[in-house]
Amino acid sequence: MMKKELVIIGAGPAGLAAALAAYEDGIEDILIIEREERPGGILNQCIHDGFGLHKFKEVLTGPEYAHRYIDKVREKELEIMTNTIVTELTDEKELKAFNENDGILHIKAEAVILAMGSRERTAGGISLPGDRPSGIYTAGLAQNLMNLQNIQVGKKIVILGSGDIGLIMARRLTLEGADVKAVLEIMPYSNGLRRNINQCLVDYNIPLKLSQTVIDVKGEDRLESVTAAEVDESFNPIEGTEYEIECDTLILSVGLIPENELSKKANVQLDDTTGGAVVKDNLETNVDGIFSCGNVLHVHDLVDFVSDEAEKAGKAAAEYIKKGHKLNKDNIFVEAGSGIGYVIPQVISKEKDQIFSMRVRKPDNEKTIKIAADGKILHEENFEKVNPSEMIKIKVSSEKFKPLEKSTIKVVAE
Amino acid sequence: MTEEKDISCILCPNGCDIKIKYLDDEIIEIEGALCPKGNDYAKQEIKNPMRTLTSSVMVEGGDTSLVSVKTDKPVPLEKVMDIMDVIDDLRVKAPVSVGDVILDSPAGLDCSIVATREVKINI
Amino acid sequence: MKKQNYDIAIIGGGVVGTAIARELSRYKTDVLLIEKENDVGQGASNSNSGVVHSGFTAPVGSLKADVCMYGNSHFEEICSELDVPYEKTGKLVVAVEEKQIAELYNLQYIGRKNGAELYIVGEDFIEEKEPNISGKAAMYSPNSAITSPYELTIAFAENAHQNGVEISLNTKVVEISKKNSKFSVKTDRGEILTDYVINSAGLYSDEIAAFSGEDRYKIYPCRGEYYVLDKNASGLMSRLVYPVPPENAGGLGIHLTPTVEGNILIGPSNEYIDSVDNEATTKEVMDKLIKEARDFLPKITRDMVIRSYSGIRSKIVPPEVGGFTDFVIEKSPKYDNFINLIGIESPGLTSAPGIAKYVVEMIDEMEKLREDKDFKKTRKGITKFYELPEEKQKELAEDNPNYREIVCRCENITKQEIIDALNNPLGVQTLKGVKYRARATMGRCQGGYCMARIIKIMQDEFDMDLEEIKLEGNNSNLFAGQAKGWG
Ligand SMILES: Cc1cc2nc3c(=O)[nH]c(=O)nc-3n(C[C@H](O)[C@H](O)[C@H](O)COP(=O)(O)OP(=O)(O)OC[C@H]3O[C@@H](n4cnc5c(N)ncnc54)[C@H](O)[C@@H]3O)c2cc1C
Ligand SMILES: Cc1cc2nc3c(=O)[nH]c(=O)nc-3n(C[C@H](O)[C@H](O)[C@H](O)COP(=O)(O)OP(=O)(O)OC[C@H]3O[C@@H](n4cnc5c(N)ncnc54)[C@H](O)[C@@H]3O)c2cc1C
Ligand code: SF4
Repeated sequence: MMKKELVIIGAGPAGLAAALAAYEDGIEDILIIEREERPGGILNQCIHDGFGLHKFKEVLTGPEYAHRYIDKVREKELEIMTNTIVTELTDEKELKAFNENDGILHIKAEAVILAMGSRERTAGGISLPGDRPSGIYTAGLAQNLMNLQNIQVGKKIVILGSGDIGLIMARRLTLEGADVKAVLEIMPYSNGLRRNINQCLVDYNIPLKLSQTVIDVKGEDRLESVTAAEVDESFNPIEGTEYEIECDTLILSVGLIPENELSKKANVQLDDTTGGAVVKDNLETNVDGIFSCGNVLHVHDLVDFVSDEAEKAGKAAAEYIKKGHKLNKDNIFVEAGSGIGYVIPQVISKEKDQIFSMRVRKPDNEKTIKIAADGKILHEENFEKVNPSEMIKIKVSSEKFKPLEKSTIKVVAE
Repeated sequence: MTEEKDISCILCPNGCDIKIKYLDDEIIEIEGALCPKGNDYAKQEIKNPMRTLTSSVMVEGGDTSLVSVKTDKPVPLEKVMDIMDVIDDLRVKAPVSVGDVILDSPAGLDCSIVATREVKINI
Repeated sequence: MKKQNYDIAIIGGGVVGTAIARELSRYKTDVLLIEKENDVGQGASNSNSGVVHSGFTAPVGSLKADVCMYGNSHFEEICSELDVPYEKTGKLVVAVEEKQIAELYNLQYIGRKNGAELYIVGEDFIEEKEPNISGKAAMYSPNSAITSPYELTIAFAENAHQNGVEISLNTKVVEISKKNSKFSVKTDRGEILTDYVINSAGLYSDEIAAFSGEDRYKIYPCRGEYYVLDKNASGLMSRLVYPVPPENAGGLGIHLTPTVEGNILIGPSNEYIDSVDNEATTKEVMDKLIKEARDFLPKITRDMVIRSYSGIRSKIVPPEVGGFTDFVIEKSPKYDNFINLIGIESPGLTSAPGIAKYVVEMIDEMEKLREDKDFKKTRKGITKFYELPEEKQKELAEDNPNYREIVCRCENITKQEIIDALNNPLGVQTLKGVKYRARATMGRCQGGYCMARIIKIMQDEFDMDLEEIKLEGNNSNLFAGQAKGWG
């Protein structure tokens, strides 16, 4: 069995940044495992720009952003094993992996960082009714096919879901000559970044239909049409509003799900709302020495935040290895209260300054986010506008936690 | 007559909503931007919207069949499709490095098409 | 079709038609199986519950009871000959309310008469065996089992093919007439002559039967919709869990079925529909499925769902009558050597081996069939790499690099398995063909990860053009073409 101090699963932006941070903190025996041919993760297919503004103060495309990290990883000669898929992970931090050179690999790690990213919710996942012809793709798959394999999935397109990937694909497909008929969104607001609505839809006169969804799919072999309808507040179709859109392709951009199958095998506890691990403030999971960061922890809209988070995980893993696996025991639980979808981390210690990442439940103006415990407000911050699609980060100094007695902090938006 | 427009700034994820009042080319009032770049952007938007185009170009002899590319500076939105026509059948030879110029002045525009990823030679 | 003349033509490549083909391949006869779709098992045979029933619902003394009991007792052996998954899970028919308990005894009475082994068990038994299931009492059937219906249909077809049966896919029978002593079978790809016709055309069996002067039966299509749950949910139960059958519904009620792949099915519903081809799913029924499934398994949630599908029963009882009737397996009124199989609805999968034997006996009575000494009863399926013990995995991976590459991450399927699936003896090269043979795209990501890789294998290893790659049916092309450079 191969032995490594630190194994990182996934060489997307999270895995790469975590590796570099651990290296900076003195860990050299690092192995990054990546199932694709090259590192970079989902960024390799995100050829549009809009990455790196926070981290590099520049607008980069996805591949360029990834390249900055890949270059550094190469410079430090950190080992990336590509074309290698991890299929098993235990709470003893033993991994099983497959690749072309070695066949089956067994690796024992002192610490593991989970950086496996996310997968897309599918037609089945949203119970799309009707026929099941060809021509129904998730947005990320269509993006992969188009940007990495030079495949055009269709010509007459309807997009369901206005998440960023759907918006980006609306423009991308239009540029490649397809006719994007509409983007339908079941919510009364878009889940995508405002800038994407503008430069992907408005620029190309693609209608965004809010509070609408697909209620039927028709096509014996290839998709022939979808039936759209308006929905009421409880998302039920409103009778009489149905209309048919002729199309050969339906693109689904209906959300990402953290890819935690391996984490489950290692008995990592998951949070029902994020779909990712429950973590302490150093991003350690309930399993000693297993850390989580990036989209596998919770779905991020900005890669810059992924890199920040991953650096934290990398540092924590380094500390864990150096201190002989003895880290401070954390003791305060963090809960998402009214108006807040989720907060990460879910467990913190009193000793450190904390950055809480959270999402609100619905878009709104003039909101105050309050962090409270023991009936007292520890910290509050005002926001002109809040949107579930945009992650909010709030920093709180350790001074505020020290006097706490009760073991739960609540975060609310009022 | 003065006109009024709501513009969301696309320069950064803040996506500020900018209100702009103008008469022909003259700006009368502008508000909502969190930073000065936003004002410039809004002014440009009413004159002649500019965009960075990202797409891909076919590669011969590479470890992948496409290289992702972008225009090295923003180009007029109305010219984007012209560039797409030019690069549709374009082929480059591997290897390609990030930043390599793939094509100068596509469709006669003042910009270059540059590679945004690397492509190695397929062995 | 390679020849002009055949001894026997089977119409329909469902589980029944292919089982008959395999049974006939034990003898020295020239058999042609004709299937209109581009793969076998595209009708009800790939969209059912995959349950090997133990025969307690069929009327006592019926043909259905006979062939079902035969199937139940031979299934394990057949599956092992053909390398098809089979698991004897046992079944609980659960009474959720006290007042249904009497009905359990009724079922047990009928079932025992048919020869099924059945016990009535109490709450403790349910609690102990299936702690997540709620019920007051149950009937326990230890011999109920599960299989993979598509793998079985494919296996029957491949084994028949290997023993000399010709299988003509993409061939639709349009007319049959008597030509001298033979039947002329006209298809959209030419005409053949044959001594015997076996009509096993499922939903279209009434139309085919009409060519033989049989007009007493009409097919009433009756749809059953399903939900498939993620493998993560498989820990919730391990046996088949059925409700007490609703009266006169013509279905067995919405039940929970573990699959051999490790998922759980919820369904099927029971709706008479107008068109025999309408395999759509509907929001109303899907909502109902979740609701009813929660009656016995409250832990089921909507986000466990990874897929929905539906299958269509070929019923010969009209909606206003409801319920079940016996299978029709008869010589046509006009011609003895034209055998019609009509109304082969549930448990048609379980009964396929018994039906095949029955049909072959009918022919044998008319024309003594001679055994073929070279008949090979075994067929090898695709090696499922991830199910092998690690030692064996190592050995395979040592010799063949294609076993070192995992293509489908949800089901851990290797590149070699995809290649094997694309190299299948029937020559099927669709994406669904790969799915039914190698299980790729079946998992929770539904192809999100592996599809791009399978397409690449199709292009690189099989020289398929993008425009040629299909999901399932002949017009189900997956792509419009290349994104760049195809002008
Ligand atoms: C389509 C799209 C558009 C986006 N647009 C923007 C944008 O404009 N601006 C912005 O800032 N952010 C954007 N984002 C967000 C940002 O790109 C992601 O949040 C970020 O890439 C997540 O990084 P990650 O490393 O966690 O995951 P990923 O990039 O998904 O990387 C995970 C890696 O792990 C590997 N892996 C998974 N499982 C295994 C295993 N078992 N064995 C081996 N390897 C494994 C995967 O192959 C992958 O390479 C976008 C995201 C998407 C999906
Ligand atoms: C929802 C549902 C659940 C079920 N659950 C179970 C179960 O759990 N256990 C069980 O034992 N049974 C079950 N059944 C029953 C079982 O699935 C069927 O009885 C069985 O699949 C019937 O097989 P078949 O070969 O007769 O029909 P099919 O599979 O429908 O095959 C008929 C074939 O004939 C072809 N064909 C039709 N017309 C022509 C033509 N003109 N030319 C050429 N080819 C033609 C069709 O394309 C088709 O492939 C279920 C059925 C349904 C619908
Ligand atoms: S105005 Fe400035 S802060 Fe606001 S979106 Fe534009 S660039 Fe960002």
